[in-house]
Amino acid sequence: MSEQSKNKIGKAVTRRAMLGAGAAAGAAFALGSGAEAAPQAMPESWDEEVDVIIVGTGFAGLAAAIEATKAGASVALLEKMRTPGGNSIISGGVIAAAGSPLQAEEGIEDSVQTLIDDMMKAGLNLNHPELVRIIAEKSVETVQWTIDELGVEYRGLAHMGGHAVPRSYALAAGSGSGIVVPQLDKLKEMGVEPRTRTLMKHLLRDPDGRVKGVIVHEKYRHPDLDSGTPKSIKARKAVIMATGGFGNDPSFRKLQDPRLGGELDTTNHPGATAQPLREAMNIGCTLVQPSWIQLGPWTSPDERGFGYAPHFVQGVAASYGLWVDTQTGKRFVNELADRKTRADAILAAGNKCIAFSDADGYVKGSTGRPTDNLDKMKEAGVLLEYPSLEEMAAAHNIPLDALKETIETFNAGVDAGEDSEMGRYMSDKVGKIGTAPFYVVRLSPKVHHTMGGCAINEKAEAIDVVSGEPIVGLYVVGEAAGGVHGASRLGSCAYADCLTFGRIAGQNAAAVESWS
Amino acid sequence: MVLRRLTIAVLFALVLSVPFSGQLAAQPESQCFVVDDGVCIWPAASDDNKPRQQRQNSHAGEEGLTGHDGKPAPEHVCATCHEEPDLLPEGHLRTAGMSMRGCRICHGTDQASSLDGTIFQSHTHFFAGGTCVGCHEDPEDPGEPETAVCTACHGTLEELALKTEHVAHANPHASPHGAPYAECVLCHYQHEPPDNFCATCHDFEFKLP
Ligand SMILES: Cc1cc2nc3c(=O)[nH]c(=O)nc-3n(C[C@H](O)[C@H](O)[C@H](O)COP(=O)(O)OP(=O)(O)OC[C@H]3O[C@@H](n4cnc5c(N)ncnc54)[C@H](O)[C@@H]3O)c2cc1C
Repeated sequence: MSEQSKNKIGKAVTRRAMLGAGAAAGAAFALGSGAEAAPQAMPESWDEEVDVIIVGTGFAGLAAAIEATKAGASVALLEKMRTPGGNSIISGGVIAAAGSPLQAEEGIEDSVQTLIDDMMKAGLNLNHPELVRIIAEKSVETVQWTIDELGVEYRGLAHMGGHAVPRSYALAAGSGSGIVVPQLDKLKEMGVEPRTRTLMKHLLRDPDGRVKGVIVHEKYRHPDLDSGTPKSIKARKAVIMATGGFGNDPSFRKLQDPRLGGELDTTNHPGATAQPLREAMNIGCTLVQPSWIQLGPWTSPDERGFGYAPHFVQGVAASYGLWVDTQTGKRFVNELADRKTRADAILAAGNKCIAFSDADGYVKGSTGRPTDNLDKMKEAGVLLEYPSLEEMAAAHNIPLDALKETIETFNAGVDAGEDSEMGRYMSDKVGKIGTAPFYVVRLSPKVHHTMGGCAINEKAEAIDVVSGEPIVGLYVVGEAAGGVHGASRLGSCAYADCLTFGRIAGQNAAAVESWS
Repeated sequence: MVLRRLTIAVLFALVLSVPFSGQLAAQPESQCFVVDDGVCIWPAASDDNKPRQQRQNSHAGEEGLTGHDGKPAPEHVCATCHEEPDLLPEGHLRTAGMSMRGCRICHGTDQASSLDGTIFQSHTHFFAGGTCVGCHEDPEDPGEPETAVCTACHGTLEELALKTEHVAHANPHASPHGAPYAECVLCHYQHEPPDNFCATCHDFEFKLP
């Protein structure tokens, strides 16, 4: 088929020389646009058939594809974007494991139960405990699987906020690509390649109750849901939905939490929309806990997405500097509290807060980071530098006297070895604030993780909204599934969730009896 | 700058004055030949320095030197494919037989009159001697080529990353997001204007060919 050429510069380009090739793309017909809730009719014949259809190429979908293929199933691995990997490939690179070999090496005591307790506490006990237990119990096995089966490399343990002990394996690659790329390589070896720009437009559920396939749009152009060429694919065994969260879908976010509409930026990739969840609801899935949307507190309004800001806000200012409300000149939260506490505090202060450090603090907090970070952050206009405290205060309209008092109180705490004001953890490396220049990043929380999604059971089967029973032929895993993390996800627990349940779904789907 | 104006003036002089000798001998890139109706013929941009038309003739019928539809490759006259009479501004030098390097004398990448994003990269490749099958295994069903197809001529990703090391914001050829974000086709479209893929999420203002 010829690629339809689009001329963005306005001049119509007619290619006489290419007329012979025909405009086959124009022959595409539109199936029901799906603008209203109503189940799609089953097609009279299928354009293609496989055992298992996997929708989404993040950690969860790729893990499912590996297991299903290994078990002998033929798979179709669908991805609507131009690149595989979703949020997974751009993510931060830490994965939790309780009672791991690395912990043993470092003499850190940990247990499955401690991880469960930590996750439940952060989740305000809204987590579905049976799902939490599976993730915690399999956490070491999951990390070991990435090492043994995929050859993933880690550089050590990190201590993430809200975890009782250091237990998060940090990827040597520094980002989620350190797992996604080996997953893709493994699949390639097995003869499976992701079909990019292939949108799962509709899930097809037969009146007999079973999910039997999907309608896709090939050559889909995000975000135009009507773009591409429709095609039906039959799933003899099952469909696995691993479509990620909806952090980048302002209108759906706003439905769930009216404070989180379009004004807020997000750390998520552009494909993180609610479209697959809407389709899942349309065929009878149960949406659970969608209002629990996590904001990252360490981001800046002066750049888009995750960006550079967290390096400074979390890495430098949270330990060696201060976060202050520019309107009062005072601190407003423990800079090392969990994400939700901090993000809520910034919003409650009217979103007019900054993170700052002095020159000494900057040096201490930046050890081990790329040396050109400072330049890059400054160049990008994210990190602002001031030769004196007075100039910093003036530039951000901070009442100077109040700011000085805040610093004095903190410095007294450094002497005493205790943060009397906020109870922040003080390592003995923390020093008094006072050496110029001063560095500032403006704060603005961004939507980071959506805890809600489709209800599932321990086998990763989707739960029917009417019967409360599993929907035969449909699995949901990863961020698309809800209930695992309750009110707030702990850092590094999404990786464990996605990989563990992705594998479970892949194994189970391959073992399902074919319907034809 | 002055030098370039001078070159252009010389070129115009050549176009107007040099009579077509009937013989297309190897010539330096910056010279053109005028055929009977005032159309100029440019030597090829290729290493062998043979004028394009001659090369084409000597390879007549060879696979890859014909267009999509089996017809001979256009002879570098814009109007062979483009119907619009106003495709070139009025008074523009005639372009029949001109190689892309000829175009670049006036429309280089750093110039305000740059053709980047105006003339598709497929043209650049085509004028430089590239063919449909050079990139697409099956021109009848052309998919996006693998990155290896591009790096075979343009050097490895590491080499490309060295070239763009000092680009502002970030090195576009050294993404921290791994191999899937290093696919050439994410940004360097051939049959459409290029697209800064990084800008989907970041404020990186890359200018790209
Ligand atoms: C910047 C950032 C940093 C993070 N850091 C960490 C961390 O360090 N540790 C941690 O544990 N968690 C982290 N997280 C969270 C974690 O990365 C995500 O929750 C996780 O990657 C989700 O994986 P997934 O497989 O469920 O979905 P994704 O990786 O988002 O993949 C879903 C895929 O499905 C595709 N898709 C969606 N709809 C369709 C459709 N209809 N048809 C076809 N394809 C479709 C999407 O395009 C996407 O590629 C981070 C998140 C972000 C955004």
